[in-house]
Amino acid sequence: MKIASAFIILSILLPPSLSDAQRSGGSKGGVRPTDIGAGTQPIGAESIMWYTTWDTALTEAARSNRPIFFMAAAATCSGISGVF
Amino acid sequence: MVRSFLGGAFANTAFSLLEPDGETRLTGSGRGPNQVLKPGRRGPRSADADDSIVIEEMTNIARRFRPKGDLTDQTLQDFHTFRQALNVASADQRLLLFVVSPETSHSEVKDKLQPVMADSAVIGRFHVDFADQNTDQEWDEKIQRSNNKAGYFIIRADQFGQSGSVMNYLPLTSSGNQVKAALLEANREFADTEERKNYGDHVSLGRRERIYFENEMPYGEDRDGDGVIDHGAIIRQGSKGKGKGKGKGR
Repeated sequence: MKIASAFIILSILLPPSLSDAQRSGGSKGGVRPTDIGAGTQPIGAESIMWYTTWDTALTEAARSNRPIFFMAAAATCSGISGVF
Repeated sequence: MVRSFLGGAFANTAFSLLEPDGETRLTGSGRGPNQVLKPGRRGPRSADADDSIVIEEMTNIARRFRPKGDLTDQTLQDFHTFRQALNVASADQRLLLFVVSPETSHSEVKDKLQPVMADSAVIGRFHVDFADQNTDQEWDEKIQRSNNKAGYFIIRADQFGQSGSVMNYLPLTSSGNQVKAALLEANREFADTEERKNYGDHVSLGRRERIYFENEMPYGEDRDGDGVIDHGAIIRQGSKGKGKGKGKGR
């Protein structure tokens, strides 16, 4: 079973937020943003098809009878856009 | 909604699995799958998440449901705003198919696009957004090579997802096959010329260039769930409780 296609993937996009590392002065609270490298997924390759609004995800879940993988996440890092 | 998954708190991630009705929870909730699906229940906890157990748990849950319907009838993606779509396209490093159409044509356009976006050569490679008359009136303000017409715009977001350029434009009268061909051609060019972002370098550059994404929701987190956004580190005060301070780490 291909997990990604077995669930409706929904990610609610949250507002900019200070990262854990910033908030704690970098001493604790997880990985520092500057320590995270690059993803390994090739550009242009197939990846997860996901929904970005509750309405579209709920409609598709009801239509296809698939459970919902709900993930809320900030679509920024420290208010910086273009990165999750 | 996020608060309901975090015991009243508000943080920058939240996770849960839900039934297709969107109301019934299939699991507990927390900051992420590894926290909720609890690999640690099967043995001593380790710093490394046991992804295989998480996948196994999710597979078992998925087996309880029998998917129905045809993929070519799938609901199309849509964003609240073009601004957010561009930001997400940049973050995911995918091209954005932005559709501008009169309201009277929405249904026809969606019928045409559903099989295209479900095609095995297309699915999971693009984001799709439909222009909203209220929020997207000035969508092309920072988009190069745009025009003020209805149609399909294949857009490449820039590094910080606050501007971009049109790689190709097709009128609404284009067939599904023409849209698919244009998407695949643009994706090939994108794959050949786009470099995978390094998260740390991206954030460092963004700080130097003072990049900031304005959002309608309040800035920050409310980790102690008192309904007020914490504008600094929460200072734990042991048995005396907890309070909020300005935090030296900012």
